[in-house]
Amino acid sequence: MKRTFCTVLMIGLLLSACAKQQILDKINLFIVASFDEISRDQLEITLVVPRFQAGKPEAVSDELYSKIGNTSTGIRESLRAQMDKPLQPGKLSVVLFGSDKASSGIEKELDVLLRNAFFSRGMYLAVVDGRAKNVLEANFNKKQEKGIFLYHVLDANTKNGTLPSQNLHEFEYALVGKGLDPYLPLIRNDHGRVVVSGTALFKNDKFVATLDSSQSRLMKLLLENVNEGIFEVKLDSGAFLAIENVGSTVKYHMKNEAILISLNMNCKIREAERYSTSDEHLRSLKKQFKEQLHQEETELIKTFQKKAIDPLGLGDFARSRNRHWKEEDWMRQYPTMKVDVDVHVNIMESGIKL
Amino acid sequence: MTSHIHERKTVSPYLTFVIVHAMLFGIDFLFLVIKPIQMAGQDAWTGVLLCSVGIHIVIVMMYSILNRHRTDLMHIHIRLFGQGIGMMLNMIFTVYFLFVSVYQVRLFIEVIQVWVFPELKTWSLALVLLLIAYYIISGGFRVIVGICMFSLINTLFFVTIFFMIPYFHFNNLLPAMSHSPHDIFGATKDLTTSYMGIETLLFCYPFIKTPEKSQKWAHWGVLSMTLIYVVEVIFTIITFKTEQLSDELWPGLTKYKFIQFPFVERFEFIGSSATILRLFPVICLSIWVSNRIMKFTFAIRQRKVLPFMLGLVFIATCLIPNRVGVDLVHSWIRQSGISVIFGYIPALFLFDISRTKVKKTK
Repeated sequence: MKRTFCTVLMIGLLLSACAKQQILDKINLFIVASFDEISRDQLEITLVVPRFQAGKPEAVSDELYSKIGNTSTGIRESLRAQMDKPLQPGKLSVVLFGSDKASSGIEKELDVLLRNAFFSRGMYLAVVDGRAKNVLEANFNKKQEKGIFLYHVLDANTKNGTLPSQNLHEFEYALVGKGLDPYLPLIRNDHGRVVVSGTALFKNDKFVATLDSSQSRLMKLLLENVNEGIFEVKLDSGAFLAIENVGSTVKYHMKNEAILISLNMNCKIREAERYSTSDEHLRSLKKQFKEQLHQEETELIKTFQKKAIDPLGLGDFARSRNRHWKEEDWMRQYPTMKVDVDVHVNIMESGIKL
Repeated sequence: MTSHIHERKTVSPYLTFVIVHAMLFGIDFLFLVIKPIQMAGQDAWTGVLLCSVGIHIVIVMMYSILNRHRTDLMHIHIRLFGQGIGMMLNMIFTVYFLFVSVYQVRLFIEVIQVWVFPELKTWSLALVLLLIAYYIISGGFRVIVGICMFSLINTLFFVTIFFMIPYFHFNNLLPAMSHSPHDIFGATKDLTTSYMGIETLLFCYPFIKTPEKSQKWAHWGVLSMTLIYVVEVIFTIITFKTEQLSDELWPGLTKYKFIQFPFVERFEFIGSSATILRLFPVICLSIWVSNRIMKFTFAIRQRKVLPFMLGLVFIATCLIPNRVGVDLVHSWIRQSGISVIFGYIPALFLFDISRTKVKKTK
């Protein structure tokens, strides 16, 4: 009895261990992929497959594979015909969308990324100004693998830069959630360099408007608590000053049908240009900075309202404060709604000089 | 007709906590939040509390029946309803527990097939799992309770929630109490599935040393699971939008997708394989219970029935082909579980009380 038990257990264990092996040297990983629209129902996918040379850990070259087809998984299948090793999608960390593809909707491609258990929810998505393939073709970095480099560019710009945080999970969250619209970073190929040029705003799954990088920084201030970022202030005298944000907090309030956003910012003077930082001057500087910030933020919100997009999630906020919130009613009143921004600025330090 | 279990085979009363914890912390935990949240949205956590209150009352009823007769349910059945009907009720319970274990085994294999090895055959993994289950169950009740201890390790995986802190949106919890009582009761009813498993206590009772003292531990077990469920529901509400959840299958595993370590790129492989810790306690206890009923009914040795039972589970597991099949079995088990916990046990309780009253007046 015991012997039969042991034999059957061993056979079972050995049989169930016969799963497909995937050894790193024998598969093709890709870290970045891009989607471009060719015609109405055809798209082009480009994958960048890193090639490592034995014995030289720093020597990485990239190989581009691209193919046109109807569905993304079908294209992946036909890409396999060009490759020497099986393709493994598990490491995909950056997905780029060409601006044409983004404007005609990316819901189908998102579904592929969300459905497959092998894709991470922390991957970055970005919209490319122009064709996404052009960015991947550019030789922007010789030392690092392109995908890793792009991942680090987006990661650095999100964690301590102008981009509001957005990965696959957050994009889906904003896309399916009621009363908020998603946004993605916008990058472009600037003479062989990859530049993060701003934010792409979406209406549902379609790319409709862009913000430049100073506007994205202003939007980030309204979305989350930020503790970095340089702001230029134009003084009455015409001179420019640079002020660094060392910690801003943002809070939304609902006051009888109007939304009040209160923004509190602690900052440091970075560039004073012989401008004396006496008490009186500081006060006027503070006032000017405050007014400038207030005006810029209000303008930003006005643009959102005009385009009927809601990347700040004001609708979602209103939903959480109002039991009888309806999406249709909200969309009707949103473009003309009153949104106030209340800015408080606190200049804490002026560096190690007066 | 009180069944006597040798003291060597019994466990301490505090281990009731472990049994309850292990039975409730099954694989279902990975997706228990979806339906309640779809029904009651941000108020789903009130459903958890309501359901927990109901379960506490059911436990009180169970213990009052058991303490009065000082034996387990299969003896009580025969005592209350006579040989024929009692036997039939016992057989119904056997089938129910077998179905629970079939469902759990198939669910675990499905998780592995979707998340780790898509090309894995159902039968090969089922064979290995059931052979290990045979090894554990033939060790007796004390060994099974020992295996239940492993489910406590699952609580450690709760720490992973803190990796999602950057994605929290506390606004999702507001406005509180905006759903109708009807929705909240719907969520409560749906959550009963996650409390299924306490009915095993009806059969474990004689195996507990000084069983009257174990009631307190059963309550503590349910209380600890209520806390875990409330936390899980609240964390899910603040991380995901309700619309997002409607097309997730296993939000409990999706949350592992946010975790990245330099040395483990994909935590979900570890997380989905670790569900085996949830699987074994549940299937071992369920098969043990049905096995015990068979032994009692047909007066054969437990060792002889066990391979036969495992064979049945194996065949039934292999017969469930896909997601749709798993869902179908789930809905059967849900219905029967709800009717056992909130229908049969209270009915039995009332019947038992009125019977003793009638006897006294005579």
